[in-house]
Amino acid sequence: MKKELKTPKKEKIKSANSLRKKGERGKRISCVFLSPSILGVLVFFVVPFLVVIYYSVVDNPINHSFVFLDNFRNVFNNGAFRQAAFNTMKFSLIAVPLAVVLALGLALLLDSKIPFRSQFRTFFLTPMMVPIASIVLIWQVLFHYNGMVNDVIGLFGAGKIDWLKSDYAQIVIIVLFLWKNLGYNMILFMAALSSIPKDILEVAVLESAKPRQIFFYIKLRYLSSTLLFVTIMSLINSFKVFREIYLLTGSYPYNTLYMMQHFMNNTFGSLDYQKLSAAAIMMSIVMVILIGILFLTENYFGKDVEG
Amino acid sequence: MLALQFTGCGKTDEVQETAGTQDKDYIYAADYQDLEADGYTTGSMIFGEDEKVYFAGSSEEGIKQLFSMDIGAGESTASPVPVELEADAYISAIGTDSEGNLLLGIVKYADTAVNIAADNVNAAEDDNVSAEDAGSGIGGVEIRKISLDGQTLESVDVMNVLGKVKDLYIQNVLADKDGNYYVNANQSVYVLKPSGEMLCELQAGTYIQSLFRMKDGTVVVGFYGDTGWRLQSVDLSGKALKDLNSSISFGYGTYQAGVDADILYTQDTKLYTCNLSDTEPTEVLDWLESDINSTSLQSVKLLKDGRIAALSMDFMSEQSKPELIVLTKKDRSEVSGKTTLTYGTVIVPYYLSNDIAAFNKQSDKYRIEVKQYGDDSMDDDARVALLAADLAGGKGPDLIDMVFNFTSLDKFISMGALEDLTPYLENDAVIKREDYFENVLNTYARDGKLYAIIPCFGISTIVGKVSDVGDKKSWTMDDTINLMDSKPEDTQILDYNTKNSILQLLCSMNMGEFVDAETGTCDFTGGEFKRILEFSNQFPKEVSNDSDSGFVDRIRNGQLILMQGNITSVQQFQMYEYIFKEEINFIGYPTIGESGSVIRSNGTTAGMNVNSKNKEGAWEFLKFNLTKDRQENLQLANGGFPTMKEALEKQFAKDVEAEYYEDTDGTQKEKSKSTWTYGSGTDNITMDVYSATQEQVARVREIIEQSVGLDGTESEEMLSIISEEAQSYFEGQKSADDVAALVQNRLQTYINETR
Repeated sequence: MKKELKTPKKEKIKSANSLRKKGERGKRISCVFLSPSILGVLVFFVVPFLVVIYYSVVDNPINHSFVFLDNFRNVFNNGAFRQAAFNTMKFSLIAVPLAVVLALGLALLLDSKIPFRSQFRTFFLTPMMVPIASIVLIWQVLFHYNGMVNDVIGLFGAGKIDWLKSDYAQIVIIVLFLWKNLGYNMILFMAALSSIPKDILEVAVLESAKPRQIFFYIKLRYLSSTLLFVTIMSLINSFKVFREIYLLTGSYPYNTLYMMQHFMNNTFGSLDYQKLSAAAIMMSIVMVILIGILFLTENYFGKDVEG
Repeated sequence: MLALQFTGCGKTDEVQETAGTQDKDYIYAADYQDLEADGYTTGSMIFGEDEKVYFAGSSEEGIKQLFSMDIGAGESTASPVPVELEADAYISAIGTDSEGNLLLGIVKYADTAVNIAADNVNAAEDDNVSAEDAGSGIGGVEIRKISLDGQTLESVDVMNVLGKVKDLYIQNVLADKDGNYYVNANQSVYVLKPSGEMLCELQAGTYIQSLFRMKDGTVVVGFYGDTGWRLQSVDLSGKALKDLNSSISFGYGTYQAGVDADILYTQDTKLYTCNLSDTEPTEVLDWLESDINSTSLQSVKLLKDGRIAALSMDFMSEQSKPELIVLTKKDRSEVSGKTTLTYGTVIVPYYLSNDIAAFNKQSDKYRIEVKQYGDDSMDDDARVALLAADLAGGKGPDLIDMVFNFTSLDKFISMGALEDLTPYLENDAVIKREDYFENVLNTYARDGKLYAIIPCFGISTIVGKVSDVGDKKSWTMDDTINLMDSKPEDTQILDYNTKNSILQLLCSMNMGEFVDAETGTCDFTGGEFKRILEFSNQFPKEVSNDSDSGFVDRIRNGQLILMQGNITSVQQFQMYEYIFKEEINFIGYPTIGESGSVIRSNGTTAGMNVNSKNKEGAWEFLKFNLTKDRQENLQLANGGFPTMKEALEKQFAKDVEAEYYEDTDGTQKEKSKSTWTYGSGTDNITMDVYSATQEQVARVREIIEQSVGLDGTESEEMLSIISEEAQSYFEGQKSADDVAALVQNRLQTYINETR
């Protein structure tokens, strides 16, 4: 009897051991499969970030004297850094909402039954296929002091405007940014719109919901994760607009076009690694906060539709 | 950031690969020997087809003699080769034919020579003085073929052909397998038939550096042409020079026939050998590793036993003597007991090779090795970035070249890469800071710290007549504009300058006035910058090809008012006086500051790596160029003024001292100190400059004392922004106010960023 009683317990223990072994083996296998990625993340993200942190707290890369927050203080008080931070923030605050709202509007428009839908979609996607060098060339032809836009406004008797070296400069770059990014955002929204359950929309129509109500109470809820993704992508792209500005206007553009990446790029060029590192860390903190806020917002608005 | 480090590491390895042969386990150890026979001064010298060196000597009594020395047999004394020479004849060049016989280019003085009258400065303007007018002074020219024991095999009188050549100077002579002679003289190769008749004259249009016969019999010339270094073969059927067909990129250097390969040549600091069909040359050795200044090499011989012999003559040194250098391959550990220091540079100029070779030769504790950053495919910024990456990675050189990195001085200072040399200079037991020009030393000083030592310098300035610019020490933009306004409309103010070049020049001179480094603000919207824009706009957009026509006449009759000049010697000052033909003032570039004359480095100028493990050795090298011996020999070597006051005074004493020689008719003639050619095309003038007066020396001293170093406020980026914005003003599209506002806007960002 004792034996009989003992056997299942042993089996249980045996099977628990076997499970544990299997789990450990699984963990080991997972580690093997994960190790290339972990190594990549360590080598290309974690270690460089630690190096950047180190550089940000030493006086220069040669003496390596610890200066604690001096570099951060210097960077924060630097006029160019403040200018770059202000311009980047201003650009992102204007360009990102526009890129999201206009793209969503276009997606809703093309989602409805309008003629030439396919042609419009292709039209808005075209800028994605144009290489950056060509985009810059097009913008130069258009907005140079002797460019086409000035020729056109000249026909109406207006004087020439130095579009890229005046207070209009940021408007020109916002237009360029929207032209380049609207198509991609629109496609993402169209895909999200098509995945909204049709039965819910039909029920809403049957329940006499108005289009405005359907949009705000159903569609927008289902689009929340896409909205978050598009906003983050647009935010990242708004930082990347440096590439276009640099190719159009060089390292030191008109002051309203001087972005954070100009500051980073130029301080790297002048071998001022400690200033570059401090600025990079400050910028990454801001980015983490911004993206954190976006995630919280998405969680709040989208939780009920994601189950 | 790490990616940056990785990139830097990769590039550094690449640099180390190209930096030399330091990683080899062997080295060529050099033995030096004066190449001269007792009582004779050595002239032309050559390696024969055997392992002997042949050289011409002339005694003070006027006896000329050919000598030989068998290096293969280890001889160290010269033996005369019996060659009969007339009393007035001398051996101008020695060469070989394809059978290994010697060829002598013999020139005989004329009995009487027509001499050019000389006073303080004597100018012979090429347009007006022909060979006949000046008198060639040549009584005969002969090419003599002799056996190796001196027996005359053939003698060809070529007076009818070469005697007509103005100021004939035969550099090289050789013969091909058909017996044709090739004479390199006065920017041409004269090809003569075996009978001495002219077959053709092949003009290079410039000094021909090398003439040699390859193993397949092809005769090759090497010279620095308009488009760079040219290596061309003589095409007798087409009577022309044709580019050699090779994928190797040949550069300026000393070229000769190889032994087993087509060509043996020295380029930069290295000896290479190659066949024309090769894609890359084979490096034989790095001359600098053996402490040899490659720029002084005349000829190289690969000996059968593996040793390498070289003939060297340092024309830049007063005490120079022709030397025979024999290099023997030895194990590196066997030879080098010295501590090795590295000298990081983006380029290796001749004076750097010279200084390093001289330092290594005399130091029993240290030796310097050059680490060159980048290659020809890179621009200056990319090269400096490589150097900076090495410095940041803690692998920087002990010594950092500052001549070609001047604009990076502030970058390196902000990186903390440069050691303050003030304590070294002030505490040194041998040299005293007060013995040197403080304003010159300060060229590389910032905030009271000295970051590089400048041993030799020149002055960049503007020259004008006192009647035009007055006798003030400096002038402003307003003064310049007023001067222009007082002149007729077609008057030119400066030659060889464009709107952009003058704008950049004036802005770099006055940048300190526009930028307040203390507060980090700038003001380009005031009147001074606009005046610079307006002034620059008076210059042409591009320098036209005929702008030099009648140059001296235009200066003298007032059509051209000023000259931009670099003074590196009293003789240059004399040249400017001659050109203007009236009292002149080196007033400098228009400036709001105290002086518009700027000090420029003219020799090895280096700083010390703050992390160098051999600071004492690095200082030894920097100090070496400041020592009295080196300073007193610098002007000839570098063509600039020594920084040491006493050495400069000694140079001045030499400048005022007249030296004489006895002419063929027995009269005493003053020797010229130097010969200057100014201008180009048909308008050039050539002038011999003789001893200076005390007044002229006093004026040069005054210019040196009042000159200043640029304060480094300007940067290439700032000048580039100014140039870019100014174009729209020069093209009439924007007003000076609009341009000034844009410059203000962009430069303020730049200044903010660099704070």
